[in-house]
Amino acid sequence: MRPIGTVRWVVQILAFCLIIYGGYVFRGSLGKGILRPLEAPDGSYSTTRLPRSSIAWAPGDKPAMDFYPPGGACRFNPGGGLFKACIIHMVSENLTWQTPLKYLTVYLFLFVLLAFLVGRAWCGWVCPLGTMGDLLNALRRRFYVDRVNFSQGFRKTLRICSYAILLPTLAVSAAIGTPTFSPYQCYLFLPYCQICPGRLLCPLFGGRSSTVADFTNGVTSFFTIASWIVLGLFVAAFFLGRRIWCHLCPIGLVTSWFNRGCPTELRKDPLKCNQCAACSDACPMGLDHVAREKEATVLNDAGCILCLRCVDACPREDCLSLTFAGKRLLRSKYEATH
Amino acid sequence: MRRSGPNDGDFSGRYRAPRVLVPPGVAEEEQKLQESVLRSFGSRAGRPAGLERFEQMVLRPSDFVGDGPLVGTFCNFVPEEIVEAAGAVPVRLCTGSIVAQSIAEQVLPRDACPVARASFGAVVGGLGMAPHVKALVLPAACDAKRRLGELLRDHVPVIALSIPGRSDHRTELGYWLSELGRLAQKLAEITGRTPTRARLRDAIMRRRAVQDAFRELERARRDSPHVLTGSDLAMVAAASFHADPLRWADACGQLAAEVREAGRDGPLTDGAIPLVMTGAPLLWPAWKLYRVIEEVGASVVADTLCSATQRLYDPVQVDDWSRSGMMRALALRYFSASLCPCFVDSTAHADRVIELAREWQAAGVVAHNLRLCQLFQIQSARLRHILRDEGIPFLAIDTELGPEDVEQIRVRVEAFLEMVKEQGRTQ
Repeated sequence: MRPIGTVRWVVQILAFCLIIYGGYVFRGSLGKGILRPLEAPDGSYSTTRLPRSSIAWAPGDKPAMDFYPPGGACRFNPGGGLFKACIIHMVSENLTWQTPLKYLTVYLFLFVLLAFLVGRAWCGWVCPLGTMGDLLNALRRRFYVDRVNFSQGFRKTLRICSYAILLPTLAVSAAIGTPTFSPYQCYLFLPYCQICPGRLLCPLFGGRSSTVADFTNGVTSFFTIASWIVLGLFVAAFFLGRRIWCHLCPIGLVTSWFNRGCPTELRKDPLKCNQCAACSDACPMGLDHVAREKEATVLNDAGCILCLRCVDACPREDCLSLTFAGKRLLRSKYEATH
Repeated sequence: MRRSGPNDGDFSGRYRAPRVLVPPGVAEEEQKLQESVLRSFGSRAGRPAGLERFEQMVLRPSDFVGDGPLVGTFCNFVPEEIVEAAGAVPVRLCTGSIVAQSIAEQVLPRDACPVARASFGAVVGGLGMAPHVKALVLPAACDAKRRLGELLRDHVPVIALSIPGRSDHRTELGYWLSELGRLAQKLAEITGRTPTRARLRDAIMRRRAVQDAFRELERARRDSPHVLTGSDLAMVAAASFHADPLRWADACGQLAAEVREAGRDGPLTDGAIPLVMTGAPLLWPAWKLYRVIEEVGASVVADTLCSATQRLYDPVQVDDWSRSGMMRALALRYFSASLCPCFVDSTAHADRVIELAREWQAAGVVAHNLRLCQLFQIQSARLRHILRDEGIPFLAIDTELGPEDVEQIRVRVEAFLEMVKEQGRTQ
């Protein structure tokens, strides 16, 4: 009944397996010589040099590729994962290490290029955390429990909270790179990773487990308990609220900066729309501008993860469509059920 | 016919409505009216044979109605899936019969909306399916309908649905959902069957056959829009007021196949000027506007009428199959998707008219302004302006249900078509 949704499940599961297990399969065969690994300078911490009991300690496996794509590729993937880490990890780590910008240019350029090409489609189609969340969502639907609907105001608040996570993360990471605060590196290295649910969830899918608890002192206890609370919220949010979490995710936030003006566009022919709002009912991010819009033809929005459930749901031929560089790839049509 | 009930929550039972004396022989008169209207349409050469089944459904609705207690509905706002899930069979009682209208004149003023008068008359006069319904669902979509409930509740239990003034899902959906929840509960009290999740799901899937078949017919007509005339399409829609959805869908699927077949041999009545119809419902058997248009060499190829396309076009798009998820999908389908002028914003209506005119390459747009319905009349004033800017010829016909003004309408439609042809030549 929903053809794009079916394709999306296939892509999501494939991407999930690649990102989570790619480290086991492709290690040593990819990326050699193309992308020079970013290493911690002497005296700095890196995930591999942290003590095993630290919650930001990662199993020592090397990723298959030293590369940081948009979406939730995680340093804590079992077997090192296919890619090294997400953009938040990359920026935090290198702020702390004070890596010269010239070494980062190629990674940042590739990130921007990929984010610019398809925007937050990374969140909707690739991110393994999103896929885990969609599985939780499918579980809820299986039990015929209706979702919780959140207000537009709440969504806006979450976006502000997302900045409130991102900016302190960068500030702390930069601060502990300076000689004055460098003694705190062992506690505050990768501050967002310490509470990110990806750090706890990704290793669950492989043979390795990460450190789930560190009560050596107040700071580590704080991060331990905070990470548990965040994980609980993550599971509850995805189980009850579809993709409401993705309004809070700082990785999604950075990717969303490229959502407007990118060549992948969600388009609408306003004349064909009778504002039945089937699209807004189907939107996992809970956006309603697709139904509301009666003038603009390009509907890209910072909150849109381009999952295209709206295109699937729209019962009006050619009303909604997906275009890449002006070329129409997908369009809404009426799907007969009988 | 007179039934006294306890205070049902919608209306106080303290006061009584005036009695209505049903004149003898109205049923026969109504039958004659319907047959004569049908005769005036049924003789066209090359008319698809598949239409006969729909004619039967319209003339003898009781042979085609589903099994179970009947619940009457007015308007296009009543989610028929909820009625079905409550174990009842929805039948839409809106009519354009002047026989029914004359019965209503004992009670209702002559300045009331003709459709409200006729539909009221059909219920109190026991015409058509009205004597068989156990309850009536009455959306208070306009002033006339808002007032009818009190008058009708002495004849049949009435469940009133309050319609919010704007169709914005963000602000009004909660209220509309609570109205639908109340409808489900009231229906359950009448039928003894609660619309549970499984029943709602079955009803939605069953009713979906209607949209599937209608869209199929629309696709078939796209290549050969003149195989069916506007009145043929209206017949197809009128049949759906009473007929069981699966039997209707079956007939509609066969008609679509026939239209496709006929289209292959080339257009049958090519040369008819394609028009888009908008405005107030053209309810069976008040079809003089269709007749005039077809007699002067034009045909309605697309419309936004709640008596025709608007009734059949929009599907219920369920995103979440939980009970509340399905209720939400129903609420959106019967409310946000509506193009009714009872809502404050009619942008979507104007957009649809322009879109249909382009899509079907219509020569012009005709608005059926039911006299005494201010909503449609005032809307048409704005629409005229909008369509002029779009370069689409527009004709508004202000009329009532009776045949008195057929010749005047003919003159106006002919003049309009002349103008359209003249424009076509000069361009």
